[in-house]
Parts: sequence; C-alpha cells; structure tokens
Amino acid sequence: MKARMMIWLGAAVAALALSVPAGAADAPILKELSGAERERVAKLIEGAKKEGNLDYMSHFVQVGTARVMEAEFKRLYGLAGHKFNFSDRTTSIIIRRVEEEIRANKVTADVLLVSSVSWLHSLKRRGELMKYVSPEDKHYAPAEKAKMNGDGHWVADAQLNTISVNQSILPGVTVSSWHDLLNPKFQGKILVGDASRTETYTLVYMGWRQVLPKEFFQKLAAQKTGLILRGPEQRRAVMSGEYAIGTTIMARHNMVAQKEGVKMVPFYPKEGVTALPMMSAILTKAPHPNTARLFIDFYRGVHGKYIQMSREPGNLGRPELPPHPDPKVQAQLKKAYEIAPPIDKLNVIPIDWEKVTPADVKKWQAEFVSIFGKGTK
Amino acid sequence: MSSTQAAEALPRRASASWLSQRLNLESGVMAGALALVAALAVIPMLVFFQTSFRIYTEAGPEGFTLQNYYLIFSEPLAREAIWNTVLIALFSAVFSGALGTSLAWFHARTDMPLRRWLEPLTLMPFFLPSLVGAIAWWALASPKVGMLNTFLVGALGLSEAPFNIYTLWGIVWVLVLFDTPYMYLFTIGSFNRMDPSLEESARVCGTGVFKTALRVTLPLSLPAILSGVVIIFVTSAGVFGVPIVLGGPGRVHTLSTQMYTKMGTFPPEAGVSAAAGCILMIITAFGLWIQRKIIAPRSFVTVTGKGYRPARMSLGPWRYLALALNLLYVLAAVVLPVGALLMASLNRNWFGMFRWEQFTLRHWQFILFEYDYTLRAIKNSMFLGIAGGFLAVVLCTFLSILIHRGRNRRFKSVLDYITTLPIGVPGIVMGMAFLITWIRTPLYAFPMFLLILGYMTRYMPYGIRTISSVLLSVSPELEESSRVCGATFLRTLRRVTVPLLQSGIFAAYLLLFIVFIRELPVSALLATEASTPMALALYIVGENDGLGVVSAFALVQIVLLLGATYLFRRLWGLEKLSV
Repeated sequence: MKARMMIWLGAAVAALALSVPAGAADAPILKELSGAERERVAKLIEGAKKEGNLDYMSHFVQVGTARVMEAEFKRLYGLAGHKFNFSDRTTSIIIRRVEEEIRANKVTADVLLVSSVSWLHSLKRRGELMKYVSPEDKHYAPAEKAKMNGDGHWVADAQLNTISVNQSILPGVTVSSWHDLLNPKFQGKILVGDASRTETYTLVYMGWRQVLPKEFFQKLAAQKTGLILRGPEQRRAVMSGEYAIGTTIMARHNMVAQKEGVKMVPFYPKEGVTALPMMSAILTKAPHPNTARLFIDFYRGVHGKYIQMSREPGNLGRPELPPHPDPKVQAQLKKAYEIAPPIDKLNVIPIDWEKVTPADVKKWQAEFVSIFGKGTK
Repeated sequence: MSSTQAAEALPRRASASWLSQRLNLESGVMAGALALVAALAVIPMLVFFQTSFRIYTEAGPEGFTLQNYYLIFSEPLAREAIWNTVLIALFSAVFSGALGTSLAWFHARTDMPLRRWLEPLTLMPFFLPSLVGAIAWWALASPKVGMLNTFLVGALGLSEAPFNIYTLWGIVWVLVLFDTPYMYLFTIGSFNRMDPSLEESARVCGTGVFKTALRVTLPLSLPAILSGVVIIFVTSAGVFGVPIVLGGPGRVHTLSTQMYTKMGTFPPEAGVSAAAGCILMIITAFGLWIQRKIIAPRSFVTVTGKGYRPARMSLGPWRYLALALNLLYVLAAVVLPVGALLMASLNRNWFGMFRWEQFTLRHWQFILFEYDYTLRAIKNSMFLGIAGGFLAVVLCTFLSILIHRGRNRRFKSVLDYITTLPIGVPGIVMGMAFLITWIRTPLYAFPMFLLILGYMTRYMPYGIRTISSVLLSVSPELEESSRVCGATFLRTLRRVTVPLLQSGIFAAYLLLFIVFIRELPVSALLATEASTPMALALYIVGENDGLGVVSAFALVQIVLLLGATYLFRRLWGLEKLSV
C-alpha cells in the first residue's frame, strides 16, 4: 500500500515536472505568478526561447531606456540568449517602413510603441494588429476612460504636451490657467508647436480648441508667439532661454533639462491638456509572437514602467505604480510623478480618437494658419 | 576570283564585319553597365515617379491622377516652398561656386602662403552633417541666445541683435559655408592636372595674372565648375537638415520640409512628396541640359602627351588678399561653428556663452566610453565608408571611362543621364524608393549591403563627376597611342588611363568616404539597430539628448574624418592627392 502510494506520488511529481517546460522554471517572473497565469506565461517563455529575437520600433522610447528594459526583460523571463533589434525613428519613417513591409508581406517588426493615433486605428481596421489582452490591461482604466485604448489591440499611456516654464529665466513664475499666458510680460517669450505643418501638433491644437475659444489663440498669437516644428528644437530653445515658455513640451524633456541643470518646470493648466495616446501594440504578422506577448506584458506592467518612469517619465495611462522596494528608485519615481502625474490625476481633454479624420486635421490646420500665420518672416 | 564574284563576296564580309563590330566586347560591357545602373538608379526612380501619380489611402496607393501636381501648384504654402527652394538653391550654388573655385585656384595654381595648412581646414565643413552645422549656427547666430549676438550686443551696446539666422539668407549662409568644400573638391583636381604652358603662353604675351585666370584657366576648368554648380544647386534644393532647424521659427518653408511634414501624416501624402521630388528632378535635368549645351561643343584638354612640370603663378602682394579671404572662410566655416560645438560640449547647458560654472566633461565621457550605441555606430560607419567607398569608386571609375571614352554615342549619352538622375532626388525620397524596390528581394535580409547599394546609388554622380572632371582634361591621344602600339583595351586601361586618373580616383574615394559617413536619409529608412551608422546615431542622439551630447558626438565625427583624410594623404602622397 505504502509502495503503491509512493509510486503514485512519484508519478504525480513526474507529471508535474513534465507539465512545466524545461528551463521555464528558471524564470524569476514565474515566482510572482500562480495557477493558469503561470502556466500561460511558462508556455509563452518556451515559445519565445525558440524564437530567440524581438524586433520593435518606437519614436518616443530612447535607446538607453530600451537597453535597460531589454536587460531586465531577459533576466525576468529567463531569456538570456535573446537578441533585440530596436529602431528609434520618427513617426513618418516607422509608418512608411511598416506599411511597405505589410504590402510586401515581409513584416519584420513585432511590437510598435507609437503615438500615431490615426495610423493605429487604420491598422486595427485592416486586421494588421493582433488582439492581445494582457493581464496588465486591467490597470489601464484611466486610459480607457479618456478613450485612449484600442479595444484589446492596444492600451496607452499619454504624451501630454505641457506648458513648461524655464524658471531659471522667469524665476517663481507658475501657470495654473491657459489665460496666464496672456500676461504682457510674456510677450515674445512663448513657443507653440507649429500645427500648420505637423499632424501631432494639429491634434494637440484640436484638443485645446475643445476647451478654449478661437479668440484666446488670437490673443496668444498677438503675444508675438514663436512657432517651432519639432520637440527637440523646442526643448533647446526653452532650455537656452531663447524662449522662456514652451506650450507643447513633453514631460520627459523637462527631466532632460533638469538633469542638465536648467530649472524647467511643467504645468498642467486647469482648463485641461491634450493627451496624445502613446500606444503599445503587436502586429498580426509579427515574426516572434510569443516574445512579443511577453514583452507587452513586461512593458505595460510594473517592471517595465519602473524603468520608463525613472528614466523618461511619461504620463501613465494607469494609476501610480506600487512603491518600489529600492528607496533610490522610489525617490526617482517620486520626482518623475512631480513632472508627469498619471492621467487620472489630471484634467485630460477627452477626444474620441477613432472618429478623427484627415479632413478634421486639415480643418484645424487651416484655422491655426489663419491665427498664427504662415510664410517667410 | 572574277570581279563579279569579288563584288558579291564583299557585302557578306562587310556585314560580318558590321556584326562583329556591334557584338564586340565594348558593346557587351556598355550593355552590362546600363543594366547595372538601371537596376540601381532607374528602377527606384521609376517607382518614385509612379508614386507621384498615386493617391495614398488607408489601403495603400490607388488610382492614377495629376492631383498631386495640381495640389503643389495650387496650394499657396507649396508655391511659396517652391519659390524659397529655388532661391536657396540658386544663391547657394552661385556663392559657393564662386568661393570654392577661387579657393581651389589659390591652392592649386598660385603662390598663396600657408596653403598646406589651409587645405584640410578648408575641407573641414564637409565633414559635418548639415543638421549639426545648422545647430552650431543656431548656437552662434540665433537672435536671443546666439553667441555672436550676445557678445556684440554686450560689447557694442546694441539695442538689437545684428544677426538673425532664422531667415532665408541665414539658410543660404549656412549652406554656402558647408557647400564650398564640394566646389573645392570638384575643381581642385582639374586645376592640379592643368598643363601650365597654356597659362605661361598667356603670361608671355603680357596678360596679367587675373586676366589669365579668367580667360584661360577658368574656361578650361568649366566642366568641373559647371558640374559642381549643378550638383550644389540640386543638393541645396533637396537638403533637409538646415531648413528643418532654421526655417521653423522664421517660417521659411522649403520643398524638403514640406515633404517631411506630408510624409508624417496618415495616410501619408507620399504622392505629393513624390510630385515635389519630380519637380526637383526636372530642375536637375534642365541644369544638366544647360551644362551639356555649354560644354559639348568645346575641347577642354589640358593634359597632353608631352611632359610638364606644374608651376604656380605669382600673385605678388595680392597673395595676402587671397590668404585673408581663405582665413575669413576658415573662421566662418570652421573656427566659429566648431568652437561653438566645443564650448557646448563642455557645458552642462547652453545659455548663449560659455560659462565656467557649467563646465563638465561628462558629455565626452558618455559618448566615448559609456554609450555602446554610438561606439557601434562609429564602427559601422568606418566599414561603410571604407568598404562601401571602395566599391563605389571602382564603379564610378568604370562608368566615367565608359561615358567619356566609349565609342557608342547613344549608349554614352543614356548612361550619362541615368547616372546623374539620383542627384535630383532628395535623400529621403531616394531612401523610400529604395525601400519599396528592394523590400521584395532577398537583399532586404542584408541591411549593411543594402545600405552600401543605397549610398552608391545616391552618391554615384559625385564620384563620376569628380573622376570625369579629370578624365575630360586628359587627351585621348595617350590612350590611342597605347592602342596603336597593340595594347588591348584592358591593358590600356590599367597602364595608361587609370594612372592618369589617379588624382581624380583618390579624390573621389575620399569624397565618397566622407559623404557615406555623413549620409542620413537613406540610413534612416534602411538601417537596423545593428547597422546604424554614425550620422543616424547623431540624429537620434539629437532627438533625445541635450546640445552638449550632440556636440561631443559631432566633434568625434569631425576628428575621425580628419584623421581619415590625413591617412589618405600619407598613404597616397601629398602631391598625388588633389584633396
């Protein structure tokens, strides 16, 4: 009887050992999981090991942050031998390259981390995005409320274009309302993203116009406002003091400035801010789907977000993260939240992104041009 | 054999002779060259051309329409962009043409002092991507925080900053500074190879130095000068880095910035972008046509069968004026921008002047020792420059000889036009055309090789023009003498033609090496992370990091290119190298 029991016990242990794929038991992430979720992730890890690669593209994640994320991902999921190909490119380059690859049926990219809303909606409509509901998605209720998520195809953090003040040039100046910018002492000191020439700034302007009348922007233009085409130039201009206030500066640029010793502080005016979705999605024809799913879990989860927030803070589409066990990292996160609070703590202007059409973009561009002008000075 | 039989036999022998003439080695080589160039340049151009007639929707390109062209000519902003583009290109070409030719003449044909030291300095702006040059001049001449303005307003008590780089003239200024070395490189080879007896004859007849230069030297160098001016005109029309940085605040729209913004939308207005690019190609074709009309009827032989020793003309006291002009150029094009980059790289942040309290070396430490992304990019660029440049110069030499020494006029003409086509295409559109063409082939799996092909296609005209400007100055009688003595075509090529072209070949190799290192738009579309070259890494760093890091990396690039130039000169000898 005892012997029979031992045999059955041994068989049960063997069956259990066989059901957990070899090597997956090494992955630290599995210690945090249990039950069906543990099994799901273990199977994905086994699949990922056979793939050996991940190819992802982004225009808002920096190379340095990508490296740190990749190292942590490999450690957490026991994929020490995995290779990554990360392309940090502008939106236009990513769109053209991915679209051509789809047309040629030679998709090389697995994961997209982008903020081109119209494009991702188009990919979804054409069935080119995988519907993958990560267990982390349940935390993105604030983004869902702001209509930034994609019905199982993506969830989003936010690219909030803040009003950033160089307090090294204007000490003590704060901005609580958009109307504060009409103060005559700010004449010639304000920079606005040129919505006449880029879709990103047009969408930002479109959002502002939901809460601010056209007359406000006419008065803003009368402040001898400068126009700028790209974020890095805007950051340089405000950091150097060429302009003291930028109205379309991403939160992470403030961190770059502060690291360089410039007291550049973001403000979120009470009327509201436009939140452009910063989305993470998997392509349907991704050549490494298992790794892609794991990476999305990681990217949207606390492990990925700790890295992103401490290095290049963005406005999370989920509530604040649980406190980090390392006090140094927690201190960095605290600073990051000061620069970039999660969207559930802000007045985000709600926009139904799926309904925005190219005709809308042209309409708002035309209005912007009529207010801020165009052409050679 | 009777006379009738002989007469009947003659047409058959004549037709056999006609056939063997047509099917000889040269025809085969020419056809092969055309096929190769067609695969590299024509197919992507055709793809690009047909894109200009398509409307891009969510599903992809559709229809066949002239609407894109109508949009360009009917939209006020687009018309203004065309006008600004033409003005910028015209002034850049004229001013850098005059300045570059003058400097090349001073160095090659006169006794201007300090030539040896000034030559590499005169070429230094060539080593900087235009984007970085624009950033450097932003740091120097932006109205509020430009170093020059800050200094002059403080020192002279001015009420307003004297310089504003955010204007059309600001863009022209930066382009002239950075295009002058192109002109220098295009003309120096021709000046170096010129037989001085032609000038001596003029001097013996009592003609002054400058009149000799205007009436003898310059006309004989016209192919090189016109080639350079045309190329600078077209590349200035398509340049992106300078107007994107300097055009925004001053609202100076150009075709290239319009293309950039239209491709960033979805669905992308790629058709409109391509239509704008086709307009640029028409301008190129017109420039080439003018060039041919002026050059074709004339002979520009300056290297003959007799030996000579190159001599320099004495400028007398005017040589100090020449020196002053060269020093002024070096100050504006090298000292000031490199100085600004150096100061920015040594400050935590830039406030318009160097500040000791902001002094730091961490940008340098980061770029040189910590950031593996930039370190790998440097290695990739060295490979692309050395190996890719070598392949490109072999191809360009081969094509130049076919174009100017081939016997079939129709083939030569077609080959000449096709190899020049890529000049008129903005880099980002060329990269797009290349991506669309090669994505469906097995080559797409080899990004480094694809990059080399892309670079070769884009810069082939530069290499061919550099070598051709020397080839045109070499009389065919030297090669004909070799053939008459029984040497084969290949032996003549190896023992006569190529040695005579050495200065042009080395100049072309160095030129191609440098432009390959600087190349950005094709790399942006085709490079993967593992194959990212330096210029692309510099652009990415510029997007994400402060001015200090960008400046440090840009200076690393300059030092590497200077080092490479020095090595080239040592390897092939100062006298043999025209740059």
